[in-house]
Amino acid sequence: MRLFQRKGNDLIRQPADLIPCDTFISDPPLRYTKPHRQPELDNEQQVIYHAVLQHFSDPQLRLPVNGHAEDLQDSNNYSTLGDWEKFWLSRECILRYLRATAWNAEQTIRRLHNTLLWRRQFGLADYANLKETATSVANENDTGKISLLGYDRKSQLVLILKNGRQNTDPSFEQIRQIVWFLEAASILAPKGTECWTLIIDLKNHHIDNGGTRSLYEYPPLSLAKQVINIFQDHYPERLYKCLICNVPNSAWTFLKLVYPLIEPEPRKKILYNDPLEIHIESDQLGAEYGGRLDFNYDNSIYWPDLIQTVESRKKVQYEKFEALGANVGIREFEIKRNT
Amino acid sequence: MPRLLRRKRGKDEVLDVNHSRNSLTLQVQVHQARNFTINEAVCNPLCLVTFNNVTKTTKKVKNSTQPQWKSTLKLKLSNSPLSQYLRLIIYDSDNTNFLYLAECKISILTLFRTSRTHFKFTKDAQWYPMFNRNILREKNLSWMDPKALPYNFGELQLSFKLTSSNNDDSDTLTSFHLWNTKLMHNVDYEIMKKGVFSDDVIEDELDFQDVLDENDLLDVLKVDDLDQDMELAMDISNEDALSVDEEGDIMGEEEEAALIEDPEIFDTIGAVYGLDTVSLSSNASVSSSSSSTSSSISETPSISSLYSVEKGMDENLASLNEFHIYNGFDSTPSFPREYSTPNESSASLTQDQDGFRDEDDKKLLSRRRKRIPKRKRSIHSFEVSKREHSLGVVVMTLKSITNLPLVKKKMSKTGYDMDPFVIITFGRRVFKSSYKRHTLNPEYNEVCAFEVYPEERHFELVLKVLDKDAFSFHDKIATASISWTSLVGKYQIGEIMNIDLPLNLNKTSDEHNSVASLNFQFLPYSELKRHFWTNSLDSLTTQKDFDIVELGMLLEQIGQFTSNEINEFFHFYNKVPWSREKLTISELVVYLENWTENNKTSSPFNNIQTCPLCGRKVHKSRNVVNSKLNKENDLIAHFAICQLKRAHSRRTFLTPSYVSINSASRRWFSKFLIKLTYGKYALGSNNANILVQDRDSGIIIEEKISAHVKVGIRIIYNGKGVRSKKFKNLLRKQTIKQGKKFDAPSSVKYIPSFIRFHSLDMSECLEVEYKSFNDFFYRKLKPGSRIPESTIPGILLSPADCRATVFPTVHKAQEIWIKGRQFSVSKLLGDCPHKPQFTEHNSSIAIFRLAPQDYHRFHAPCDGVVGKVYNISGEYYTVNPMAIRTKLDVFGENIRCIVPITSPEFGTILYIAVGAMMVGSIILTCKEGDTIVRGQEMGYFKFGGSTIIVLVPHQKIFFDSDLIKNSDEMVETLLKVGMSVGHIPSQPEHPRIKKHIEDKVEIERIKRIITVTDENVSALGSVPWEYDQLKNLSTS
Repeated sequence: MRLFQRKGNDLIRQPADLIPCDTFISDPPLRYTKPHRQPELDNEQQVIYHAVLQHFSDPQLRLPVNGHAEDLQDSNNYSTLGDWEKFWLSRECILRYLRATAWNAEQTIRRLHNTLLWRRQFGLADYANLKETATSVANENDTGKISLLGYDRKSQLVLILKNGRQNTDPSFEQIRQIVWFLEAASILAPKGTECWTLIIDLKNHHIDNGGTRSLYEYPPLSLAKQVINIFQDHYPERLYKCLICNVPNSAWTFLKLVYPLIEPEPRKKILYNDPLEIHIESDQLGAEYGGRLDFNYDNSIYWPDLIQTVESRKKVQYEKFEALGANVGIREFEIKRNT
Repeated sequence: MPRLLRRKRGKDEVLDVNHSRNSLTLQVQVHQARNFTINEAVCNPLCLVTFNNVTKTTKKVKNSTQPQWKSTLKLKLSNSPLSQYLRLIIYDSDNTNFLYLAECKISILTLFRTSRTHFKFTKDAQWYPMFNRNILREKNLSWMDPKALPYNFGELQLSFKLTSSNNDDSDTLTSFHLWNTKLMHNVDYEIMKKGVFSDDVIEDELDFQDVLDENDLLDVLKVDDLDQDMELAMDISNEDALSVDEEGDIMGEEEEAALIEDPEIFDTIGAVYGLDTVSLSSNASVSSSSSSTSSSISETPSISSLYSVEKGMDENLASLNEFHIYNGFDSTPSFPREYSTPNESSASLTQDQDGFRDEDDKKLLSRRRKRIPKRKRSIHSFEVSKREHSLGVVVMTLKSITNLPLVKKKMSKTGYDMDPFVIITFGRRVFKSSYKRHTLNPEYNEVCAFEVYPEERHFELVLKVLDKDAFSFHDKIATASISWTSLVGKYQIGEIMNIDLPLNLNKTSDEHNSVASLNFQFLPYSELKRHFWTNSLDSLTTQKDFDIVELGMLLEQIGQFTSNEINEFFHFYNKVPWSREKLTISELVVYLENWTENNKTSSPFNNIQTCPLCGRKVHKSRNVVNSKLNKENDLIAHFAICQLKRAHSRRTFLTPSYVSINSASRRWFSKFLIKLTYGKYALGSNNANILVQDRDSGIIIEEKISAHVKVGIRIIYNGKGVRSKKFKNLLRKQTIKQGKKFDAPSSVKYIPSFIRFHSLDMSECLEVEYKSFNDFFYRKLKPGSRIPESTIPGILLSPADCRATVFPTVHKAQEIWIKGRQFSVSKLLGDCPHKPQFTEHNSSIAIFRLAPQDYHRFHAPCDGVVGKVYNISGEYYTVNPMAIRTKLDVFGENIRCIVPITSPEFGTILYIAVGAMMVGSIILTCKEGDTIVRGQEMGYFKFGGSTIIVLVPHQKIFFDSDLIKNSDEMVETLLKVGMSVGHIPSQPEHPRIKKHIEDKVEIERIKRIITVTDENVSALGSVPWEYDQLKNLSTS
């Protein structure tokens, strides 16, 4: 029988020295390298960056209020950038878009426009709503299908998606939940990092679900498509690695279907059934993946704590942002607090 | 009835053993019951659980009003489920009688469902309300009716568990889902069989099933009782004997009772509650069964609304329907299973989402596909809406015919013998009704539905009444026709129009007013589209409005949409997708309706490949031979027809399964012989069945090859003969000899037999004394009988009464029609001085074939000046389509005469008269330098079939689209002199309008012009006149 067993199974054994943990780990371990600034831009890049910055710094820049670009000509339907939008339009953010478009200023502006419009539609233009969103999608996370836990070896956040813990029907709420997590992750990302590692766990956890089984063993393709689109369009250059683990045989069909929807660049970042220890140290990794964190998801503990952390970080960062002038293009590095 | 059922069940089980590796078992724990007796009377209750013909009982609890059974009953889920309802009945049992007390019905579909997509297969103990069906019936309520709640009758405590044979939870879900699909399939099938669509009836249907079970229940109870009650042990032998003896009686009595008192049980579906008290022996208890007045549900489906679909069964069914529909909408990748046919592996990878569902569908599909005939390769999928779609669908009901004439019996000449049937034709669609025995006023009530295409607007609907004869050929009784324009002219959309069509009798000896009455309804395409989307969305989902995620999931089932396309749905209505605004289902329908018009480049509906109703794929329309002329791979039109078929399933729904009127009126043995000797009888097929479409009426007419051509073809096909000098000489000699013979005055004697054989209509001909047969053969017509259709000089006219094929380039013609191996334009033109101007790629070609019976003079197609006539001598092969499509180069080798015409509109065109078998000579009545006007006579052929080829520089002409289309499908079109063939590019196509046919026997005449059938010959009792010549020819 050993012949047919997957190698991955060997790795999952319970280490003796478990670290109890039931909340979000607020800071990466100190032993990781100090946060470093991004390398400075060369002259050419500088010019392009400033062109983009110039565009968004223009106080006359007006975008449709409800995010629908083709909406009426009525000027009441347009408004200038809000403070939180300026907060979001940091130097790093613009650079991410520039990198995603291979330093094409025009394309960058268009994509940033699209994202700004989408954020207005989605209600992300104002971070004040973030907490409400969190409470309204709380039941989506009853089983902990998405969690932020630990840091990888580059002290980047680890976002874990557990497909097997799906507890609700596919709906708009699920997208809201994911988007909330992505926003939270961008706020919580430690100083000097802007990417995160994504673990997608395809193991069937239905036993944890109280015996309830879903007809959708994997998310419907359309939903997957929409999430992938949001991720690619509105969160470019955010993914460091996507680790897909515990892939059952039946999941390959789903993965094969999704694969062509992913752009070639992020496709390279996807790793299947890769040992997680390579990317994440064992004290930052859940025991179920062979790490030492004894993390059992409890929504009543984890969720309020996470909201709290996000809110407090948000507040601190915003204060710093105001202190720095509340403009477009402020460095996230300076806004974020030291660990 | 019960026996029958049981047998059927047994068979099903045998069949299903193969593909149910994993059987499901439903464990019902019956704990206790309370409050189910009215006056707390003491009884011995037992609980009987029945589900899809599987029945189990608990033990009976003696002297109790609050029985506690606490027993676990295991029921295997049937492999051919018919009902979703689990029925638990409480009986009061005293040794012999079982008195119905109360019952409880639980839908197994909702039982384990926790949310729309989540299932949990254990259900803890819970109280379920019971009802007494007698009470409900008095109140005239259904048990599901919320109004019935106050009449609930006690409660039953139950817990459930569903397990699969190997105890794996995921397998349970898979198997349960498979079971669901089967259930839906079966229910659908039942509905289809019954043709009833209303909500109640489905419910009743299920109940009916239960009622039928009652006899089974009785058996079960009996056996159980005998087992359980030790007191009866000593009487077992007695009892047994009795029951064996009496079984027949009981059955008889029960049936009788049922017939007398509850006719609705076995007769109509309306019956719900039959026997109240089931008894083992006593008559009394049988007769104590309900004497309710039968309120049979009217059987006719609600046709008032044309599309009565199986909507809103109940919420469950509808939501399950979602998966059922999946069969249609999903094609499957996923893993190979033993049921997959090789065909399925071709399904593309990009269309599914989760494995198990597809496997189920796959099984179902593969089972369905087995029923579809073998020709799998040619099965193509539907296109949701084709660009060249039809105008709409016509629904025609043939109601009745009144007052048919008496046709005396042939043998005895006494009495009449009339078994009339009707052939209905519109364009290429031929329907044949059933025949009614021995009546002069037959009632048919048969429905046919067909699409009408824009190019068919000048066609007409033709009815033909025939008398079925058992042994001889069918007798033609009457015909009637009505043109499409006059049909639609009077019609207002939405109504059902009654038409009384007077019939023209074939034997017009006595004045007889036979009238056919029809119902006509026309559903325009736009309406069909709306209808299609409304229905498909209804069957896909129960939701009424959609946010972007829900819309995405819905559209995923239909096809592949990009996210931009999904966003467009919202933008169209000025809504913002990501702020969770919703689209209503009606908005969705409107958008989808306009979709095909909005985006013509690509169709994203690629998941819709089969009809959601019948689950079938359809042959691609291009392949006319296979598709039997049905062009309905437009799903929207097909869906409408498919649904009409269901709506009218109580009546006979005719299918257009015939190629021509002739084939429809033929008996099976002639069909068999034709198939055997001539080859497949299909339009565009390359064999001895020559089918021609009449341009005026759209009717497909078959042209039988006269005997001498048959011999010619046979020689051509016989490889040895073709190239041999002997054969060529023979043909030449014979043709010349024939020509001489027919030029002789003595040949006049052949004329009457010729007229008779071809049933020629001589009324058009100029009446002169014919001096020889050839003189008759190139007879002139009365002036004015062939007037050019259009006076515009830019329109090219047909040069002869002929069967035409046209091709934009010679090259294309070579691909489709002219299969001669060595054929080329240069060979065709010989040493003609105009040769360099015409090549395969720059000249359009029109081929006009004249059959022997045709008017044999040819006319000018356009104005112009005749150039130098160039004669080429050659062979005398036949120009029959079969010969053209052999490897023999008929056009390049036959004798021919090239007439260049220099026309101001078309430039220099070449007008080539090709002689053929038996054509002695080509005589031109014009000469070089003559100025000819359109429609002017240019010459004539002496006896035989022949062809005129017209070569036109391709940039100078656009041929008429209907001709082009027919030619592409290898179908010749019947033309008359003066009809439009093509036009110069700057000139719009000549519109085809229906000439009103005032002539009564027009259709018959058209047919007579064309048809030379063996039947004619034998009917006339004469040997074909040229038969002797040919006999000589072939033997010498």
